[in-house]
Amino acid sequence: MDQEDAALVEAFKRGEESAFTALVIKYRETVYRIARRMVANHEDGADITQEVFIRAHRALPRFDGRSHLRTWLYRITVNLCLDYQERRNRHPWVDLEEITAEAPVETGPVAQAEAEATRQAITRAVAVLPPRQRAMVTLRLYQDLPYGEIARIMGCSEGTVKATMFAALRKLRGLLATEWSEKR
Amino acid sequence: MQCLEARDALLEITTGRTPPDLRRAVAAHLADCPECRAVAGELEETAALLRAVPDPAPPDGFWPDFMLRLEERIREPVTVGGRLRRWFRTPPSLVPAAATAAAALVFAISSVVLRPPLPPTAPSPAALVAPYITDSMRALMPHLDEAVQIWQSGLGAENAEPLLEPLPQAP
Repeated sequence: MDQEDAALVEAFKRGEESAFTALVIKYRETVYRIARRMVANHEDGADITQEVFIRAHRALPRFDGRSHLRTWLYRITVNLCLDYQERRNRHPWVDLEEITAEAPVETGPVAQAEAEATRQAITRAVAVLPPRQRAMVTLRLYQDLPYGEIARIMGCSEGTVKATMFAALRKLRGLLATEWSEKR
Repeated sequence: MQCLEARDALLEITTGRTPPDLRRAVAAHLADCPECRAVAGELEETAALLRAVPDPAPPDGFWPDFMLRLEERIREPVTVGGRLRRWFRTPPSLVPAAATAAAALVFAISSVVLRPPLPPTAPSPAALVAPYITDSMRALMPHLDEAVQIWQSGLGAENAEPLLEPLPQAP
């Protein structure tokens, strides 16, 4: 485990609440980004981020340090996102408007419109992926985690992660190609 | 290097960091394998496109409020009821849909419970006939009322077959 994390966890176990606050500050943005990419809207992403740290606070006294704290937190995050997705499947819509509402940093209206269209297409394609594939793509491409760590987070083998990633990327490629060929 | 090995490595190359020796081995394989070259191109392009989407960011001023709410929730005593509430709670983005569904349900129930009383049911055939049976008709036909009752009961005629065998007479 990262030395700084280990020291903070030990301090928290000794009763220093400020150590937990430091851990939250260190990881909150990454946890939020993973959740947000998984659930595609701010409210639910924020709600899941909050729940991750509530659960971490309760379970941290039992954390044995055999894995990275980061891996442990991301595992809680992914599991909560998958639970959320399970509930959400009863109402399968995606808030594309909100996720694409962040204006791109581009100059000129044509470039801006093109960037916006590309991002919307990618967002729609990613939203079509099954939740576990989406989690793996998020952890790999946006968090740059090694396949071994993704395997520990997802509770499967490294080979499964690679095979799933391969399938996910080819599926995304197909979805994007279809979308763009329809527009032309 | 075989295709299977090369494609495994391609995933590393296109989506992560690869040691130089592996990168060289894959490059050598790609030079001789057009199929893997095509796959490499697809993976690389798709990964680059996905990475081009910027990181989502919360609205300004979100984190201080987040920390306050987190602190409050950590201080809350953990109760079974609270846990159940959280487990069953509606995700925030579904609140408008849940509210609409609840309103529709309340409307449906209230339209049944609070609806005005139904108009009286149609009068029975006996009631329709009754005003036309005068005393003189009854005097002429003493069994008229009985006949009307038989007609009303749908058995057809006075001499219709009885539905049940009559009970044997006591000796």
